[in-house]
Amino acid sequence: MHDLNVDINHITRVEGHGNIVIDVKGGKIRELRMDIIESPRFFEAMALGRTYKEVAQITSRICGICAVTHTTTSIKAIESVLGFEPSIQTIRLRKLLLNAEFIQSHILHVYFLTAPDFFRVGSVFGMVKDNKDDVLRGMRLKSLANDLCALVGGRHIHPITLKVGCFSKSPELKDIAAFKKRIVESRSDIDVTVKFFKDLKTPEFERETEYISLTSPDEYALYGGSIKSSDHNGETAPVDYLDRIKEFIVPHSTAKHAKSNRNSYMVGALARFNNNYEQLHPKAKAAAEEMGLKHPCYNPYMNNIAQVVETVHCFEDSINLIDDLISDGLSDEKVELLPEKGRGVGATEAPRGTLYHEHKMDDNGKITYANYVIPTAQNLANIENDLRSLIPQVLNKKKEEIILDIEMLVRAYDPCISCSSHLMKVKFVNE
Amino acid sequence: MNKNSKVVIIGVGNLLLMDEGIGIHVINELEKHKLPQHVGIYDGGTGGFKLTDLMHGAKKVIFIDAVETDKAPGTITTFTSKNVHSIYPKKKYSLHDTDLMEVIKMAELLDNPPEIEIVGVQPKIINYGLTLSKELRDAMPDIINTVLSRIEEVCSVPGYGFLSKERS
Repeated sequence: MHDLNVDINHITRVEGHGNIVIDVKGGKIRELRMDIIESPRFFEAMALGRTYKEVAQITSRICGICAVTHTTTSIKAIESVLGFEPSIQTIRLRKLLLNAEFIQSHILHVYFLTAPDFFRVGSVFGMVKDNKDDVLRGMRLKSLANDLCALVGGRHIHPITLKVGCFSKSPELKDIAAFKKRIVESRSDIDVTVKFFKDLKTPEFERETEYISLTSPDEYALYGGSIKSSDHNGETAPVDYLDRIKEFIVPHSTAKHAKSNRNSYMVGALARFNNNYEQLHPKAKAAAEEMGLKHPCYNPYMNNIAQVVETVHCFEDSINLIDDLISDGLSDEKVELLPEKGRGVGATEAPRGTLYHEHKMDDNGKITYANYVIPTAQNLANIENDLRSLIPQVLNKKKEEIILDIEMLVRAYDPCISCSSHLMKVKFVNE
Repeated sequence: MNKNSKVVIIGVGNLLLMDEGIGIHVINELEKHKLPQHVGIYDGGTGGFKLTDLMHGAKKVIFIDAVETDKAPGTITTFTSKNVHSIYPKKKYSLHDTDLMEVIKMAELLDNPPEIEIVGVQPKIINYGLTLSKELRDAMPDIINTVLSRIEEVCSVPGYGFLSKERS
């Protein structure tokens, strides 16, 4: 096939967002564009005038899947303004909560969005007939992570105990200890998950790109660290994030794109895997080997396998964090921070990649400037470049197979569409 | 709130998208009312498939959500998944566009699924903003009464708890 015309309309309720347009004529790509996110500037506008204590409650609502990361990053930006470093206990609890979000998000992504493609069943509901045990395993693991989120964050969805300075309420030690037992008992589900994804054949495709993630000398960086690009030897402090990444507007989209050394870069599980492989838990490395994920990897479809690897890592890291919390004991902390005028940046790894929140506030603690750089904004140009490279390689396939390859690639990233209304449109049976 | 509530009320939606957040506004309003102890109230936000974790152990779940029914803004429609034409599975490119009916379909796959009904409210404006449209603000008392009446009816059925005498 030398001609291809694909126009995928993604349904979002906010006008002007949501297309993948590909036009190939005579084997040449004439048009390829993707516009499936909103501009975060609307959320930034909502933050203005809010106090430093309440702004995280707004950002928590940007995304139901990554609410912990948005809240944490918002708080870290405020603490950056104030030059405040939380206690070890608070940092451990934040890391535990972040692990819970990574596990639930990755599990949902790989079981509910990615796996159905391998069985050609259209959606997770199509897997129920022949793969119900697999769906239920995904549900169990997702529930485990969400229950951990509720235990530490106070709620299953949109956490409420995360505050500037410390947690408003610490979990009970006995509950944390009991939860460790649950995580340990669920290792068997993780083992089967690794075997399940090992058997699924990921499309073969390679395109090396620039990989950007946080990095830390102490650990596999999720909660914090400095910014690392695979194109550079040095690292960049989060507060200088605009020295490393440049946001720009493209003509076809109101969404901000981002670039660094090249005209696109990748963030997310595969970028972290490539940048920080050595610091993965040994069990996570073993899972990578079992599933055929070799370091470094330049196949964006393998992002989902990297997510399974990170899920293993987060499982083991959570057990270690709980051991540390039990060993040192938990106390109810009280931290009262007074406002100060200044600028601060928070950077945290979200499941889909590095998330930056920049805040400026005045003497009264009112937010006067906000800039949020979400992972999907950073990945957007990279997805387009992946598609530009992929399409000429698959043009000899049938159109429906090409479309599936394209869709699978987009789903491998799972673009965040925070502006996507979850509104149901129903048609009643008796109408 | 009882962790293992037999009757669970969940408001869902995005608070940052005006009328899309109607379910959360209703939950905030319901929290001012005294409800039977075995009735759990949750702000489900944009939890997507996470919402199934709020239903564990429940016999009855009532969702409150913005629903496009082509009716006048503020119109309340109470229904179950059996009342609507199946449009699932729908194609999706992101987990972020999971809607409530998919969550309900998923919950119904589990062992001992609860009875689930939806109190749907027709939105007027879905766009960036923290407030409800005037039409939905005006409809709020009716929505609250509808939900409270359903809670009372459900709780009067043997096995679902007690008739609420505690509600103020």
